[in-house]
Amino acid sequence: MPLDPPPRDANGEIVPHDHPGIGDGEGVIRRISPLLWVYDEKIQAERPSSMAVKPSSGPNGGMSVDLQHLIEEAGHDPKTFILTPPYIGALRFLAGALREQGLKVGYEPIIPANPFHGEVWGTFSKKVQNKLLSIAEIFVVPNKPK
Amino acid sequence: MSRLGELCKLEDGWDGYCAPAVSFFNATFALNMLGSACPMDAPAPQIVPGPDGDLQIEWHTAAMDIELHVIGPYDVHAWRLSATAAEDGEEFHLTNDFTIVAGWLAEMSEAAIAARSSAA
Repeated sequence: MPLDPPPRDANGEIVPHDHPGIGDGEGVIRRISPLLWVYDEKIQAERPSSMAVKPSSGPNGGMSVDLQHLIEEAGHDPKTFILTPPYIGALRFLAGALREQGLKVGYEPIIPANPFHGEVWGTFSKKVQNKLLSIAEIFVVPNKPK
Repeated sequence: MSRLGELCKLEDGWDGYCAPAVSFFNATFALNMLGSACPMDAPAPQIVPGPDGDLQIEWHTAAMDIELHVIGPYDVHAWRLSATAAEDGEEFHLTNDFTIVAGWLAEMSEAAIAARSSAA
C-alpha cells in the first residue's frame, strides 16, 4: 500500500514527522558500509560502530533508512536492493522498536534515486545509539573488498 | 595516517546514502589530537567515517570502550564506558584540552599491560 505524501514546509522541504502509514511491525533497513564495522575485544568479533546509527547534522538531520515494505511492494528483494554501493551491508529494525526509543520514523522519498527512502528523526544520545545497536538485526553482512 | 588518508578519499555516497568523504580539516585535527593525547603504548585505535565529513576514533578493549567523535576541529564528543563508569558511560564535549582522554588512554594501556602479565 503506497504511503501518503509526507508533510512539507513552505519551501517544499519534508519536515520531520512520524508517518502513520509505517506500522510498528514494519521493517526499517539501515545500510552499513564495511567501513563502519569495528573489532570488539569483549566479544572477540566485529560489530557495527555506533557511527552506523548516527544521524546527519543540520536542522532536519536524521538517519537515512530504506522502508522494507515499500521495496517489497515494488517487487524487489530488499536484501539485494540495498546493495549499492557494492560490499554494503545492512541492519534492520522494527519501526515500533525505534519509536520506543523516542524516535520518529518518517517517509522521505528521493525521486528518482530512491523512492523507498525513509528517515529516522530524534535525539540520538549515546544511550539511544547503544540501544539501537543492541536491538538491531544484522540483515546483510557486508562483504569487504579484497 | 594511511587510514585517515583513505577516509579523505572516499567517494560521495560511500555509506549507501549521500555521505561525503571525511574532511581534510577533520582528519588533520584528529591526527593532532591523537598525537597530543595518545601514549606511545596505547592500543591502536579504529577510525570510522561519519555521515557529514566527520569521523570517530574508537577503542574497544576488554577493559573499556572509548569513542571520540570528531564533529569538527575543536568540536569533539568523548565517551567512555568502563567497569567504574556509570551504566551508560561518561561523556564530555571537548574543544582543545584532551587531558581527560589522555587519562583514559593511560588507564587502557595499563589495563592491557596487566592483562598480558597475568596471562603470561
